[in-house]
Order: sequence, then C-alpha cells, then structure tokens
Amino acid sequence: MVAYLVAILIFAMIYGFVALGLNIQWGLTGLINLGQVAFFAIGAYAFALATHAGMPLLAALVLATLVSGAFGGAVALFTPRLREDYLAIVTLGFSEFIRLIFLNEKWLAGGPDGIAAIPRPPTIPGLDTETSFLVVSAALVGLAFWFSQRLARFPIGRTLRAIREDETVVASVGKPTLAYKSQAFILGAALAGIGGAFFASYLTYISPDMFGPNVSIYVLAAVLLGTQGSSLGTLAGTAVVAALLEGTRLLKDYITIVDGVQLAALRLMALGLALMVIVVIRYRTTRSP
Amino acid sequence: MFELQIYFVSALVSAAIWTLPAAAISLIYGVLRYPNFAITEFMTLGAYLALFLCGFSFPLWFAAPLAAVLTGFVALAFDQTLFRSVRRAGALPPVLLSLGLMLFLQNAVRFLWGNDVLQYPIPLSRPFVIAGFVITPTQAIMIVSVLVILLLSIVGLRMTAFGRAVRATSTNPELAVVTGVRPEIVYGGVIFISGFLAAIGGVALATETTLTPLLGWRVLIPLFAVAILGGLGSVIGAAYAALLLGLVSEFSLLVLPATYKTALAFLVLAAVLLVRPTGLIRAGD
Amino acid sequence: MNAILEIAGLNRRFGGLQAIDRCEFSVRKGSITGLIGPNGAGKSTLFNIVSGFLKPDSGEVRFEGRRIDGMAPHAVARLGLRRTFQIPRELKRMSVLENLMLVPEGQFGDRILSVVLPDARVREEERANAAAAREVLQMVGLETKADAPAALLSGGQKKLLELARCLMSRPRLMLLDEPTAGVNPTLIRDLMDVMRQVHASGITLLIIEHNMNVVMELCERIVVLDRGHVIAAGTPSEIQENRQVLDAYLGGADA
Repeated sequence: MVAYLVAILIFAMIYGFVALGLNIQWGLTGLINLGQVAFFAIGAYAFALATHAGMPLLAALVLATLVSGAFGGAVALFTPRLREDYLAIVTLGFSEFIRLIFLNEKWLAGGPDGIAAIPRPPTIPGLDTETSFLVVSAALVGLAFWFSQRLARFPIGRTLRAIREDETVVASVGKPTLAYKSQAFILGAALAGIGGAFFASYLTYISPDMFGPNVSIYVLAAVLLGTQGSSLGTLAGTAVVAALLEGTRLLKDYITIVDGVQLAALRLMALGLALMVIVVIRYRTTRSP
Repeated sequence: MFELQIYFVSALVSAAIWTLPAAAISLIYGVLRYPNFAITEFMTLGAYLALFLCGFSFPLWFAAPLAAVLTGFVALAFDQTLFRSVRRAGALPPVLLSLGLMLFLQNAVRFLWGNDVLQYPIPLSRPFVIAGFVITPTQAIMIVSVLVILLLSIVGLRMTAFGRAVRATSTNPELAVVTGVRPEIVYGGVIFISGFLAAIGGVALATETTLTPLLGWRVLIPLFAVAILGGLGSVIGAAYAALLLGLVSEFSLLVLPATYKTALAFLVLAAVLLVRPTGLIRAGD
Repeated sequence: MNAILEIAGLNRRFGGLQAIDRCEFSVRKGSITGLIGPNGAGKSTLFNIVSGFLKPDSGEVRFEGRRIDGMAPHAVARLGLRRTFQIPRELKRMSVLENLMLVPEGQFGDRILSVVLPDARVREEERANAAAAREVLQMVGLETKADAPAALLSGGQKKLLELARCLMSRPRLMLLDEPTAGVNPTLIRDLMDVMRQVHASGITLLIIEHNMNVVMELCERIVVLDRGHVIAAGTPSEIQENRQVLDAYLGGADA
C-alpha cells in the first residue's frame, strides 16, 4: 500500500515537471501545445542514450534538458505566427512525428524495442530505492516550482502574461514578442525534458509506445484543473490526475469482472471524460437564443 | 515499368482511404471552425461497429453503411451533450474536447474489443491485373464505394437545401442566420455526416490493414495534411489533396524509406500552414 | 523645415482597394499635426504602416531621417515612435499599473536569467518602475485607478490608459489614433489638456481625429487624406477654406 503511494507520488513528480512546463507555455504565455509528450519523449531518449554512452547521470540530465529545450526552440521558431487552432494541429502532429522517428530509427533509439537498463540515481543512505527516488525527484520538482513561481511574478512573467492577453500591444511597446514566445516555449519544453529523464530513470526502460498522446492529455488536464497560469494550481492538478490514473491501478486487485486490458482502458476513458468535463465547466457559455 | 504502376495503385488506395475522413475534418472546420481530432476515433469506432455487425452474418457492404450511421449518431450525441455547451467560446475548447473524446473513444474500443488484431471476414481473392495495374477485388470495391459516397456528398452539398445551408454557414455564418438558416441544425447535420464519412474511411482502412484500437490514430497526420492541403473547408479540395498526397508519399518510396511516409506527411502539413501567413493586424481602416 | 517623420510615395493595396495611394507628407519636429479625412480614407492603414504593423507595397517612411518602412513593430517602437490604438487595447486581466510597468525597455527583470539570480536588483528596478508609472498615471489623471484591473475602466479611462502607455516610454513621436472618439465632452477637455502637456514636454504628436473642434483647436498643421492620397495640408484656417477639402470632407452636415 505504501509502495503504491510512493509510486503514485513519483508519477505525480514526473508529470509535475511536464505540467509546469506546459503551464509556462500555455497558462502563462497563451501558447497552446497539444504535443508536450514530444519534449517528454526527447528528454527521456536523450537521457537514456547519454547514460548508455557513459555520461554521468547529472550530465545526462542536463543534456536531456538542453536537447528538449532546443527542439522546443525549433518548433517555436517555425510556428511564430500560427493561430491557436493551427498551433494545436502542428504541436499534436509534431508529437506523433517524434514518436514515429523513435519507432523507426532502430540505430538511434532501438526502434519498437526501446532502450533498457537505464540507470537510476544512487540511493540516499538510509532510504529504500523507491523512497530515495521520490525524494530526489521531489527536490527537483520543488526547484522547478520555485523557478515557475518567480518567473510568473517577475517582470518577465508580466511580459509573458501581456503576450497571452494581447501580443499586438506588447509589440507596440517595443518588445520582440517572437523572442519572448520562443523563450517560454523553450522553457516549457526543457521542463518536459527533465520529466522525461526522470521517467526513463524511474522505469529504467523506455519504448516508443509509452509516448502516445496520453501524456499530453494528462498535463493539459492538470493545467486546466489548476487555475490556468498558476504553478501551485498546476501541481495540485497534476496530483489529482496522477491519483486518478495511477491510483486506479490499485483497483485491479479488487475488481475482477474486467481484465487488465479492460481496466487500463477504463482508466483512460475516465481521463478522457474528465478532460471533457473540465473543459465544459471551464469554458461553458450561456446558451444563445 | 511494372513498379510505377504498383505505386500508382497504392496511391489510389491511400487516397480513397483518406478522402472521406479528411473531408469530415474539412467540413467541421469550415462550419464549426475547429480542428476535430476525434475524427480518427470515429474511423476506429466505425470499423469495429462494422465488424460487430458482420458477426450477425451481415455482408460488409451492408454492415459498413449501417455502422457509419451508428457512428454518426455517436458523434452527434457527444456534440449535443458536450461540444454544444462551448459553441461560442472560440476554437480552443472544442479542440480540447475533441482530444478528450479521442482518448475516450479509443479506449472504449479497447474496452469492448480488446487489443487483439482482428479482421473482416473477407475471403482472399486473386487480384486483377489490367495493363500492369495490380488491384484486388476488395480494393476495387472500396475505391468505387468511396467515389460514390464522395460524389453523393458533393452533389448533396450543391443541390439540397441542407447543403446550401452548410455552404452558407461556412462562408458567412452571420449572413446565413439572417437568411433563415438555423445554425444548430447545420452543426448537428455536419457532425452526423462527418461521423458517417469517418466511419466509412475507417472501414476502408481496415479492409486494407487490420483492426486495432489504434487503427484511426495511425492516420492522424496524413488526414490533417490532406485536410489542410485541400484548403480546410472544402470537400472536393480534400479529395484532390488526398490524391496528391497519396502520389507524393507513394512515389517518395523511390527515394525515401517507407517508414518516412508519415513523417513526410507531417512536413507537408507544417509547410502548408507556414506559407499561409496570418498577420498580426487585420487589414483596413 | 525640421521633419521628424517623412512619408514619400507610399502605396498599399488590399485586393482591389488602393488603401494608400502615392501618399506623401511630413511632420515637423515639435508640432501637433492632425491627420483627417473621411471614413475609409486610409488613416489607420497609414498608422499601421508607419508603426510597422503593415508593410507598404512601395514608398518610404523615415523617422528622424532613418528608413523605418518594413521594420518590425517592436523595432520601430524602440526608436522612439509609439502609437495608440483606435479601439483601446488595455491588458484586461492586468492592473492599470501593470499595464504601464510592462513598458520600460531593458528591464533586467525582463530576462529569464534574472529569475535565478538574487532579486535585490529587480526589486529596486521595480520600485523605480512603479514610481515612474504612478507619475504618468498622475499626469493623465488615473492615479486612483492604479490597482484596478484594466478591464474595469470606463471607455474614456481606457483612452487615457492608451495615452499613458504611450507616454511611459518618453517617445519622441506619438501617433494617436482617435484619442477622443467615444469619450464624453468633459473628459475630452481633460484629454486635450493632457495632450497639450505632452506636447509641452517636447513630444511631437500626430493625431487622427474626427472631432473637428479638437483638431482645429489643438493642431498647428493638418493633413487631409482622401482615398489614401493627401489632398491638402496646411494650417487649420487654410484647411477650413480649402474648397477641395470642403468638397471631400467638410461639405457635409457638421461643417
């Protein structure tokens, strides 16, 4: 039971990075990103490959962060003027594109078999491996949270919020909006990359089928659940989503009328339904005559 | 030059599979102004429903349209219960809803039918060879059926009162309302038709491959590439674009490995979006 | 004449409409210049071109002798040429004060790096920034609204906020797009006082305005635009007597 709780919390931390990243992009700056899983996957693969190449864990983590950030920058630079609906299509398409690259490029990423034997950080003396991993990831999420909070409160956060409200005004007062938007997108992608590195390290094995659109949907739901733009809300939202998703894994010991595949499917149906309900509650408009 | 003919048939088959679901995306975008990511799952749902009906020893040619009608009603039900309540809130809420619906439907299919790879009970038959073009009877029937439905859709959009209302709403919603078009009827109708078209596309795709819960999701990128290439909002455009993308991606096999077909479609999609610039400020005084 | 803004041979077409047609005029440094013309004459299009939001098809725009046509909006703004918008674009969910504190360039805290450094410098900067913003609010008479969300301002107050945002950067040339449109008569008086004050502090003003009383009283020089072309330019009294202008524009009911 405690082991389950620790596992749920670890997943909450991993998705916490990804959601905090999305919150900088979408919550703060207003850039919708339906493909956050792309940067999560890039971070996971970069970390796995770097450690396999003999890099120390910390260096591999830094590399994973930088590589995901760089891809975020590339997406931001190529789509500066895209309207919201087009950006939605491109980011979702991009995430599937990245997954296909990992699936098809056997030489790079092991193809469908993925990459195994990804190392975990050394265990903190006196703790078991799981709790130790939780402590390390929680410490880093704490750091990411501190960063997000300050970012939102600092003058730069004011500029990003202003871009969310009206980009034209920000340009008219002499600020290069594209540069700011790119920076926000890069930060968000880099945070997702850190999440990916922790994910790879926690599971010690990754494969392309782990990086479907579900992860993007988890974090969209998390950011929507916490009032959009608030880092604390985002983390709370992530905790709720993780509890809903990972917590319901527990049910398989109690529910015997459905098999494992069906239970997994039910959980994801619940997530899809939850996202839809949140969206309706958040955006419902009064019916017009 | 035997090979080139094979590529050509493959391109035609791909185009036939993509046309109707891409037209569905286009129709919804044209009238309701949002990209609907759940279309791929209406394909999957339609394909499985057709399989289910085949289980009652209906032939596929009968099961497919019936399944498509059922899928249309499913699409309509979600539209009326969820999407309708965010009608005037811009493009983002329905986009997010469609993403949630995608996850929901994909896993509903997984819940009901499992992860196993399934197939329609179609007997294997010897392909025709006409002037070097190799085509199976199933493929021929599929292509002809898609063409018939496509033509019916185009004629329906041109000739019927409902079609005129759809086109009016697509070009100028305010004016359409003034001229007596009831928008909710147009929206509901378009959603139903889109569910129907997507399901037919799903059955078409499943006859060429196999049924898995990821059936529709796998063609997400080509579908959106086709819809965008065809100029979102146009059914005929989607048909031409499907043929174009089919040819480009099949003939790319001459120079690129097969695994890059979908990647190529993504690049087409991104490139088309990028060269349609949308400025910061609307023109005018 | 010492021109701060020079426009020469400017053209811009939208589809079949020649919105700006061989437009040519200049604005004297230190002046208040009015830009008038019937609806659809191309005034706002001209502002959009000068401020970098639209690219001209051909022609030149020079600010203090330097070509600025085709430059990005933020780059034009940085040179010291700022604009307001005809329909106020206040940042609704931000406070009035924040709307202004956004403006200053080169804020250290406006860089990501500052977030991970000790915040003493940013705090100091913000204090000064807030003080400057309050000063500008005082000038336009919005000081009591500093902490209110901008969305709650009245229409006239939003116009004042537009002006304040422009002032915040101490530009050398301000383009004001209908600063008094939709504002009640008492507030128009206040707005005119503010504009005079701004002008007195050494800022050149180019104003699009439909209210003829305002134009005639405020402007020392008026440029008349019709179908994208300058049909007349001169002092208020010259313009009032110009037959062509009367025909095109003032001939109507309110002349």
